[in-house]
Amino acid sequence: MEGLKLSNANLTAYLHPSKSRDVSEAILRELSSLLFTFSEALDGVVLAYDINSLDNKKAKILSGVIPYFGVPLSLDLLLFSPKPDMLLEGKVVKLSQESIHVVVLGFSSAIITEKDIREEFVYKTKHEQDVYASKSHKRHTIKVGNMIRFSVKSFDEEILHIYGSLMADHTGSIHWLEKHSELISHTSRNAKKGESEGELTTLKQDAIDGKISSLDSARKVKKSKKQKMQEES
Amino acid sequence: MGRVSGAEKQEFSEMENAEFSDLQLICHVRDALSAVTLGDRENYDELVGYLHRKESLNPDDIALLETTLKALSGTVSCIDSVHHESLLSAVYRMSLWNYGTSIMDALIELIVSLAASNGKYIDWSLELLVNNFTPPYHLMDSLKQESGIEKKNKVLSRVHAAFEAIAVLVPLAPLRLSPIVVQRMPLIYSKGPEILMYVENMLKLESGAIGEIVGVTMLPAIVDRLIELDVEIGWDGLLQEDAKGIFEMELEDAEFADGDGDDNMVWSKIFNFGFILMLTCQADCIQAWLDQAVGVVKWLCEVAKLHMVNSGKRPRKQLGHRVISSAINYNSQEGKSLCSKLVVDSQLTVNFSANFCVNCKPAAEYLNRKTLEGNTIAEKLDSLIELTFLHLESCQSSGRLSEVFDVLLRSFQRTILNAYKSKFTQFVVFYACALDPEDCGVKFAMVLTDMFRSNFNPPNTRMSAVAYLASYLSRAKFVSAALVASILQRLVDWCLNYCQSHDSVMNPRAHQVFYSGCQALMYMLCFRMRSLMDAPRLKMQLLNMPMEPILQHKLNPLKVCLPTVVVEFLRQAKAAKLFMTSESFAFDDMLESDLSRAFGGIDRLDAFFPFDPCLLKKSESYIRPHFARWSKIKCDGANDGDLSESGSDASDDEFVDMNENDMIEDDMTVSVQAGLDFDPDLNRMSITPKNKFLLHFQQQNARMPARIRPSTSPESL
Repeated sequence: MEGLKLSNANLTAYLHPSKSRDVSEAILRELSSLLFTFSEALDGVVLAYDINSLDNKKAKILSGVIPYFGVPLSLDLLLFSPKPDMLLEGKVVKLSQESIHVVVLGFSSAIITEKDIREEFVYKTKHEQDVYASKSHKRHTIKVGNMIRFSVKSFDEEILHIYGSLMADHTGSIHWLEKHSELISHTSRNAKKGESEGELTTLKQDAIDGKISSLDSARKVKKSKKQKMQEES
Repeated sequence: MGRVSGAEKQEFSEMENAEFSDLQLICHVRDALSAVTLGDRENYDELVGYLHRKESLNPDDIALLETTLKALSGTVSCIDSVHHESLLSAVYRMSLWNYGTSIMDALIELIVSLAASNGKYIDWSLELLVNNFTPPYHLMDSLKQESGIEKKNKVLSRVHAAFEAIAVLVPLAPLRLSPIVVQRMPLIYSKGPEILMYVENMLKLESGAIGEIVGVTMLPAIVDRLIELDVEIGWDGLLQEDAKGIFEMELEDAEFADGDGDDNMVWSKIFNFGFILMLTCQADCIQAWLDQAVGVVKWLCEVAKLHMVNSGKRPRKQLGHRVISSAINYNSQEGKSLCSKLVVDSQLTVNFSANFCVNCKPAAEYLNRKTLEGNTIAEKLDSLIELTFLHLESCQSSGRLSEVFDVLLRSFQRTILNAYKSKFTQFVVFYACALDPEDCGVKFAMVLTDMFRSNFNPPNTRMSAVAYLASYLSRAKFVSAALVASILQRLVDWCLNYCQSHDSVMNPRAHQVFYSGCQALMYMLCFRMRSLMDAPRLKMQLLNMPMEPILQHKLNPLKVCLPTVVVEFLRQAKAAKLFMTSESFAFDDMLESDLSRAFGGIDRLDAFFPFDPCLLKKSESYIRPHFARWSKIKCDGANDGDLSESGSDASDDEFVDMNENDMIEDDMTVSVQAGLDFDPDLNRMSITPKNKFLLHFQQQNARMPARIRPSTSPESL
């Protein structure tokens, strides 16, 4: 699955003086407020963080009515940032004539509307169960509870809502896709490989009261499972 | 739908295949919606028109509406927030309460589909569902009937099921729900039933499927609302009316008779009445009368010296009013000394002086208008607290009480603990502890003890915490004596430590935390000494506690702590033979009320007994079985003969029966009904107001009256 990346970031957390007694707890609370929100500076939804180090001795106190102090931190962050044409995997929670509702990574809702589902799939009700069945491959079905792979059309950053599409040939039920991976064209997947090399990027993190500190960071890209599979097969 | 495409209707009038015609409907709606972007609004407007029908009583209209809604559910992705604004607002205005179940279901389906289809509509959908927490005004009254209740169940079950459905499709929706629900809470001035219904829904959310995420914000929000109502229960304008009447009264009205000192009972009634009225006054209102009332004080003291007995028409009220005036004038030096002397002369306890010494605090909320609202606010608070109690009971039966209690406790620490005028809200925590004494009850006591002992907390918080602790451990019947003993041990150790590290003289302000700790110790022992002494192991523990060095230390807590508490404690300690030298402490401390006032600070935390009996009728009935009332513990011949042996757990039946014998005038009752605090009284006095509200008032057999702490009243024992 694409869209997940591991980043290393140097941030500064600005804390209110009342928190100076228990700095670690305050920092954890601040970082927790970042979770499941899209951060422009980090370019992704923060899913998890791990503090590498925090420097208690070098916190700079800001001048002002309330003297916040900034604690420098070094963090590992797991970020989720789906871009158009990325392939994502999620669990189907609802099927209807009009749309397929998917939940990605347990928190992000995705919708694939009828016009984005390729002609191959037809909506049927079999044995009282709603199903999207493929016309060309009999075994290829999508039911509630299946994992499917779909490509991203767009991503609503505020509500973390993904608009997806099943137009491409290599999208559909993962179970079937993996069994028949040789039938899927390789061309589209090769294009994705370019992203996997590490690049240096500069990240900025907005601190609590809006001050920006510029930081350097190295970004390691986590290889997706799919790419690993490609290499194996 | 059929009306629009007349020709198509003919074609599909015979529905061979149900799905087929549904598809046609959906196509039609889709076309209508997309036509709007091109400027063709005809079909679209007709669609919207169907949605506006509210009086759709005839089956055709109902079917039409239902079909429209179902078709719309199938085309949600085509609904655009800009072009189809009238459609969305029409749907927004639809209230589930106005329709039958089929339309309700269709509407819910539409809302859920909209929420899942587009991030823009999530907040909109959630708000729409939250709007359905309370019925429209014209249906509010029908809720009391059977049909109304049935309707309510139908609507609310669907609404909450919709929340769960949305949560499945959009996992982050519950996060967005919490702020919406809290923001839309009705204000405290809304009608009672509306608030009640809304809070009922909030509690349902808390215990529902999405309760894990949403519940953490629901309970604290409810507690905040409770506090807001609580502090609004202010002082009754009625009082002011009555009090003003004093000065028109003839001073010779009451008959004087030389009573003897034994007539404490009647005398006490007078004073109690006075306290009740007096202690709910605030300084601001009193200022105006201060000058006028000085003369009355003197008169009153004379009267008191004569041990006057009431007679004549409504005597108690008149005298009560006189007491009130004297009380409020107590600021004057002369009055003070007169009263002090009076106390000693008439063998009333020091409490009298303590009471009258109390300086009424300036009132922020002294409004006459509050008289009218006071009643309703108290009723609202009462119903809300009752609702919360019921919810706690259901949490306990489903095994969740522990987690819920954690949330409640955090909310308590943040809001109730420091809200100094909180009178009844804390009983929510009390009840939760009562439901689960082993776990919650102990946890509460431990948390309060730790808050007191921790240097990091500001002094007011620490004093407040220890006041809560003392009042809780004294009043909670379900708390084991062993727990009380262990908490006492910790308090004693802390106090001893403090004494040893502070080698300084008595200074109420500087050592206020210490004094509050000592007072808490003494207060707890007043209630619990007997039960501790009854258990041999705990008795040993108690006897071994190093309390003497604390009490005899230079810091002199006995002089600073509230005299009533001190006196009662010493009396009991003497009877229990706790300290060998107790006689020497006996009555030196009567006149130290100034100092006691000083240590409490502006909030009068020295006279803060938060778990004094609850005055709200419905809530009190839940609390009663777990609540310990004061009763005089018989000491071996040490005191008056008229002390009863009855234990503190007198049955309520006996209590109620005897209550009916002594009534006070109804207008007294009325003012109390407004949920006022009043302070009945002192040690050996008993009051006997009639009242189903005042059940905790004690009898003539000298049971200690319970009291609520208003901002200014002294302690109760």
